[in-house]
Amino acid sequence: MSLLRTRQLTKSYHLDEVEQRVLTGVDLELVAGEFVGLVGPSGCGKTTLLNLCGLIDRPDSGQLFWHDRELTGQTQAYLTELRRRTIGFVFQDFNLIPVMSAWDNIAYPLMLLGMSGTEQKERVRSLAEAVGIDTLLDKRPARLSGGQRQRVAIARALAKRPELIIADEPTASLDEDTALTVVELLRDLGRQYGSTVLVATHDARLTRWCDRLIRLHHGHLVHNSTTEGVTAGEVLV
Amino acid sequence: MKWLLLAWSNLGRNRRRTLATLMLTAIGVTGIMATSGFALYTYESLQEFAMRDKGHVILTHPDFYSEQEDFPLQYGLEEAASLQRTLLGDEEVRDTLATVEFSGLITNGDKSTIFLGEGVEPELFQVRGPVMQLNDGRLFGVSEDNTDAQALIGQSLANNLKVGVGDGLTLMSTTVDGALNAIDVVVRGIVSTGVPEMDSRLVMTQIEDAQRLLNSDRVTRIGVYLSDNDDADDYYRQLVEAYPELGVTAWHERAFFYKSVRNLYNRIFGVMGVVILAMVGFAIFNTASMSVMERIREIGALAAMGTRRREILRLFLMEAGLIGGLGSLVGLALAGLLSLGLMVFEVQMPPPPGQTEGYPLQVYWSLQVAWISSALVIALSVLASGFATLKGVRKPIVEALNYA
Repeated sequence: MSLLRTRQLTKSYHLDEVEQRVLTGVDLELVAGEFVGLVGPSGCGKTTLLNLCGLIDRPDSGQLFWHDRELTGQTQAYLTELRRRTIGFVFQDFNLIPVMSAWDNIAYPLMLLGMSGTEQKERVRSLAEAVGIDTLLDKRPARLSGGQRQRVAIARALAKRPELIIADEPTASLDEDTALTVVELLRDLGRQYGSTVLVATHDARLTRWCDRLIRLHHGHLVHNSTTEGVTAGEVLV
Repeated sequence: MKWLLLAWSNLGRNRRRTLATLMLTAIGVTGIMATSGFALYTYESLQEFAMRDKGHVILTHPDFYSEQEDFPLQYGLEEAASLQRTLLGDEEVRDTLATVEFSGLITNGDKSTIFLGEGVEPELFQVRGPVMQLNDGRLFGVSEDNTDAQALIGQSLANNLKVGVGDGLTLMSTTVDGALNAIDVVVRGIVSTGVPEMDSRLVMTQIEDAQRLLNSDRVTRIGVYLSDNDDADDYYRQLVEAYPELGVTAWHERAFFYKSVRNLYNRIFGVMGVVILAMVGFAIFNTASMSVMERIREIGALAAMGTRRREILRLFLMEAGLIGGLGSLVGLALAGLLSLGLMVFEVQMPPPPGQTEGYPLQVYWSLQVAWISSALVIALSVLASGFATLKGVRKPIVEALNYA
């Protein structure tokens, strides 16, 4: 069943009055519960596509469907509500709130949903155990390592049981071992909660965890298939 | 509550900056409280002085304040004693004082000069309280047998005529019939009003002596003194209805000095208040602007997670409100300490223009001003922060997330 579908998405940016086309005619479909890798060289438009799929940016042209409902032309408030309820984000730089403890960071999306304190406690506790930070919940981000921060960020993204998780280079700031653990965690928990995960990465080794790979090149979607047979070279080029 | 806690936590991000803004806000509130408190003290003192000087309500002939007299007491009141007895029957009335105003020449035999006289009842000083300073001799007493005509004269007049307590003087004036009359008086006391011009002309006699000099049993006015200042307006309206044939004047209508000082202070301290508020506003705007710029990426992340713009804005407004509120509390406490300090350690103010006596500096701590100044400062903080935050909150999410 289609969770998110795009049709002929196009996006340009203006740099010094020069138009730079970032995405051209991207057709994409994300199915509920799959773990999709988005790969391609730097500047190919991965982040732009993630932003559009995460509903934090709007395309110049083309259409975007959420459960077959077209989102083009929807108000900012509508998209905000949709993100609030159904989309989780894992950022490259974690983007945790520095003045909040790990607990409060994870509970933040639940607070936005107006969830009761007891329910919040249950969710945060179980997620913290799942990502292995249950002993660090009272610590603020500044006192956590990079890997621990990303685990908090994953727990935060999953807390509201989102239908879609957008992860932009979630392992870029992590060492090799931690990166593997974090992606494995993201995939397993995504599956456990039934969330679709769209993860952009440069790291070819991480693609083996993906159910499907989407490769962008100069703003065009050039490869959309299962990971079988995809080599590291293909991912990076 | 969670939002408030988050706002509170955010204040700790840059403690030094938060503390500096908070202290500036506190000083602003202290400034408003101190200037307003000083103005209130001055207003109350002058109001008290004006009420004690002529009474809460003044009864005169209806034309007394509007027409010029052709001869002394032309517009005086008849049968003042009977009217006073009637007024004393009202429960609000503490006392009444009849006064005869007159003028003429005063001489020591060798030298003459102009005087401005007041014929007063001996209760005057009990009823009025301390409105002038006794430099030598005695004031009029109620229970004394004042058989000789006596006078209290201003210090400068005494110096001018080279007389002291017990010396004799002659007062000359025109009677109501147009004849020249004179009475001899003995100097009973030498007083100072604090106003040099008054001290060089002032002569006070007992009312009977003034009436004898003017050859009339009329009085210029009757001052009605009430037990409670707060009754003044109501009692004034009551007398206006009860005595349509008389001139009934409220205390503030003749309190010209009080009114001009109040007008002047309202303008001066009003401008000061605006300047202080502007300073507080700019400080908060500056702090909020810096805070927003430092947290643009975070704003982007919050928005991406589905936080509504108004919720992000509210968070920053709460932070500003907390700074404004805490600053106000500290400011009110500082103003309280200042007020107490001035009560304990007396600071003397120099004499105002045209006066010879200074007065103790006091600053009232007014709950009403505290509420108003705190509310203004908090509202201003929130408003300034709102302006500063809007720009950050309106930034597109992608742009905010990539903000360096």
